Amino acid sequence: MIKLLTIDDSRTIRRVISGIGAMLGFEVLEAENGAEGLAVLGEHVHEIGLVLLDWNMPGMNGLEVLKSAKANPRIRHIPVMMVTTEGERDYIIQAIQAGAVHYQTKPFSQEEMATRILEAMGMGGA
Amino acid sequence: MTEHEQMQEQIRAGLLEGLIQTVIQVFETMAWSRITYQGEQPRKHFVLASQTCGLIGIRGARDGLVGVALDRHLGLEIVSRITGLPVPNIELEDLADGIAELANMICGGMKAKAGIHGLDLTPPLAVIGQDATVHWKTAHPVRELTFMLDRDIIRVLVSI
Repeated sequence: MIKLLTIDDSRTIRRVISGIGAMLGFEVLEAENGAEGLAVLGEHVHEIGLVLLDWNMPGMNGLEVLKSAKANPRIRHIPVMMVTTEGERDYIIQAIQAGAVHYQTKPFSQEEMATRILEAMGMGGA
Repeated sequence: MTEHEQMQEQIRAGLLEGLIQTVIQVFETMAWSRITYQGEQPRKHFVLASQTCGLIGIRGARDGLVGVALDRHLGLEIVSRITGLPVPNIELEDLADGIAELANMICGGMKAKAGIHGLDLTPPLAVIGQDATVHWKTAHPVRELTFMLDRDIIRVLVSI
């Protein structure tokens, strides 16, 4: 089964994303900070189909996690979607330039997030 | 009014408008709850006296504070709607995190809608308690924005 990984310091958001992932038929792994997220990525590198990454977290922020993941040849192929309250253009450009495939701002509806997940995994409709 | 004061007033007005829109949007999209804006009133002090409160500081182009306050039963109901957890299964940590995230999304949306560069938000703070009254000193006048969800009141205090 393809797995998703949500990296977010908010257990509320992790729980919301886990619910949406389960609804789509994915198992969802959770990490509450960047270091833990990178460790889970390394451990499940062949199973994870998408990472949903928060921006503002204690310790490594999401952009640092993204850059670190993209600098690692073992995990750089795994697509990353930012899921964040930061909706300014500068943030979006930075994330895309660093290798994010998608950018979703909070708040989001379940339908919106489900669509974004499928799109980011190349499973969206025509 | 000087040019600087005019610019600050524009920033403040943009943030207030963005805040009202975002509060409604966050409750609707994340908690499937249709809330209505009732209006605003000036307040002498920034006091969060409800049982569940989320607070975020604003720094940079404009300093300020935003607080979201609601009764505990409504806080539990909203967190339940957001997470899908039944109310009896919601633990204190779930409630605190949910209210903090609510404040985080509201302020993030406010910032994005206002389109103002150079604003930073502090990490959200949640205050949960039966008899808690939390009082902050602020640099700007305080306004209380009131929203209704059915018969329940959601208060948003803002000083920007």
